[in-house]
Amino acid sequence: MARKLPMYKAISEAIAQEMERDENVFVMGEDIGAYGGIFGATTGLLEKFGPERVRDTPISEAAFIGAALGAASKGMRPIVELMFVDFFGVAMDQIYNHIAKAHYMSGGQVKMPVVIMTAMGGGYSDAAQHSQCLYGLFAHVPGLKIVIPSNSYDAKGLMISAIRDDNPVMYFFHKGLMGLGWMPSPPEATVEVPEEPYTVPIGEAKVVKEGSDVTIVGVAKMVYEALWAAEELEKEGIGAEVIDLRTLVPVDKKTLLNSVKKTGRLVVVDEDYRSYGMSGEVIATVVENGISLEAPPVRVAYPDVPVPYSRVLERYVLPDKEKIINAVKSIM
Amino acid sequence: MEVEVKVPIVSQEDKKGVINQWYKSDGDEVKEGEEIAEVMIEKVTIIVKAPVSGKLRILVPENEEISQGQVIAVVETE
Amino acid sequence: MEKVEEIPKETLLEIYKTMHKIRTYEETLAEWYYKGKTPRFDISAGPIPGELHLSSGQESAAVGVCMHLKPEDALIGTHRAHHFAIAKGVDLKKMTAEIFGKATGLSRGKGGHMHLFDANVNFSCSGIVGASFPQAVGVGIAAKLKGEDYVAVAVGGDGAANQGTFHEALNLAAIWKLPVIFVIEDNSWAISVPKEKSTAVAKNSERAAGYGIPGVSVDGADVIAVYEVAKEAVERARRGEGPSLIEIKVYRLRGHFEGDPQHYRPKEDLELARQKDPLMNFEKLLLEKGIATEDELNKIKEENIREVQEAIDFAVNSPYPEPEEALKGVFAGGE
Repeated sequence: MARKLPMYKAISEAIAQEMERDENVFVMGEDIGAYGGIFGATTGLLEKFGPERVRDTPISEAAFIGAALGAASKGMRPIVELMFVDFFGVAMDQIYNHIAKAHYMSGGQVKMPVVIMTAMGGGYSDAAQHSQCLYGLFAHVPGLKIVIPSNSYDAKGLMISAIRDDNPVMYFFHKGLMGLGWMPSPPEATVEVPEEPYTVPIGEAKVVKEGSDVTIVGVAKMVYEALWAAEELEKEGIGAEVIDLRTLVPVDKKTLLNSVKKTGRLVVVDEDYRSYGMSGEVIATVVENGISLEAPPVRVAYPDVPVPYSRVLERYVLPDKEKIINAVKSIM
Repeated sequence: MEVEVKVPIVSQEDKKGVINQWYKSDGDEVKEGEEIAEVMIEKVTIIVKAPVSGKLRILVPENEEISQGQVIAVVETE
Repeated sequence: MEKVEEIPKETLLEIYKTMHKIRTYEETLAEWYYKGKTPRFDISAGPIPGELHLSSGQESAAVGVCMHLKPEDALIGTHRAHHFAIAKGVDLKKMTAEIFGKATGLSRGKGGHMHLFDANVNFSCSGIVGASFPQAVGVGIAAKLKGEDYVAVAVGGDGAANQGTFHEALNLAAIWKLPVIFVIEDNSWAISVPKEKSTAVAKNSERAAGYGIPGVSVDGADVIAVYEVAKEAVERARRGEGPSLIEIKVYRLRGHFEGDPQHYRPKEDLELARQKDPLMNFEKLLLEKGIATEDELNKIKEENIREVQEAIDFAVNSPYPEPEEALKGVFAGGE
């Protein structure tokens, strides 16, 4: 049976079901136990599974993320939450030199079924060290799969896939999609979620709206900005196709290329920094595959500045519906 | 008989909040232990469950200020 | 508490004044923060959006330490840093305007509450736990290389003492004998995780032994005790004798951030915090010992209330930055 669930509950339900199915799955992180996760992603787990399998950690990210590697090497399937993606700096070595590379460097002897879950995104004046997306940084490093759900159905299915995957998967959730009462969230992100476990395959994008004139690609909250822009554009006779990439690594080239082949125009919407990131990668993927475009591709991305605090400043730099509409019109 | 549904007391402080969402409508039949509402005390979300099976009578709508311990509904039993 | 008579009255009143100012400031700020956030708490709404971490109950740590600092001494704080900012002499009007996201703020609205910078008094803070310690080491290196007598104070919570940066920085400051004071402001809680579940030793001051430097633990309920301990550490640093670690046991009167009803926190712990309120305790002491009269303290309170109100008015009446300001200032030497 399906019922509407906010994303935070869909994630905790996925983790709970996998913990019931497989005793090797356990969770570690800051405030994930008694608090239930600052963004609710581990709600109710401590009560169900106890403090051995749901471990509140000290603020020692290098230690508990590194520990995920050790546990995985002995057949455990750890899920670690790091409250904000902005906080990863202190643990980067364990992630990008070890967890990401262990399988390759060991010639396949060591598997790393680790899920690293984290909150991303701004829009609520939390400023430069609590609002970033940074998925591009991690997607750049070989060996890490990157998933970013935009709604509760995908959130549950992608979490279950991530836990069952034998590779390290970084699972990004956007704070502004979790459906928490205190954090503004578009209602569209809270959708029907089946009670039983199911998977959403890693590496599959989704066409969330069909159109023939332009392809708009995004993830997480930008999917909704793109959809809202597409609705407006429709009124003016411009048919925009919206793709929710859902997975950055491995990227679903087929869905992307098929769409752009059809539309001949491309706008990439990215809440992560503009340069050397997802927006450039998507465009390069299209261009490298020899698809001829009717107009130059456009990026609607976060400009290369840190996230400012003041509401007026943040609104100015965040990609949104209006900026997408302008971008589309500039190439029609 | 009527059984009261109260906002759980989660905090030692006198913090207030709102009912974020009623999962059920006024007059719905609910089962004991079934999730019926999502209450928010500031940033903390609490799921309220039906204390008994019966017919739900909602007393406080969504988004109205509530206190911890306040009666927000009753469940009418046979 | 014996030492209190040896301290000049004006110093004692200054300590009181600053502690009271901090408390008044933060409670006023809290009122503003909740505007637009009741009955439904919406983090993005109201005149002060985003997170707000207040220091009520921890004022003694800031005042006891900063009384010994000069403007050229550096203080590097945490996400919860208003008390240290005020005690260090950060411009209150500009700080308030920054918290309100205004163009007249310390950083023109780009930094916000967790990222306050006032280069005039060498104050900075950040939202990343444990970030202060290595940075203070660098200030110590600069003092040594330049042959100056300024010192650096790095503040972190008890949670931060479990970060690698803390241990690496203590070791570095010790081997290079740098003028750094490491302050652990121990309020027993890393958000919802209590210290006894996160920290292998009862007192973080014990960890100083691992780096061969002095480590002292002091009760933050007694601001004079903090003042005395900090004095020794700062003087030692200025004399070129190297770093110290001070653990100040304080009690958080409010939640980790505003909007935190502290559902994880036992009642006894909150009651203890109220008993250990350093401002209340110090006021009682000043009156009981006949150091100050109620009239004198009331006059100080009124001055503080006025100053805080002026700062709030300044912030509220200031303009927001021009949106294009967001794109400026990434690099030095250009727009």
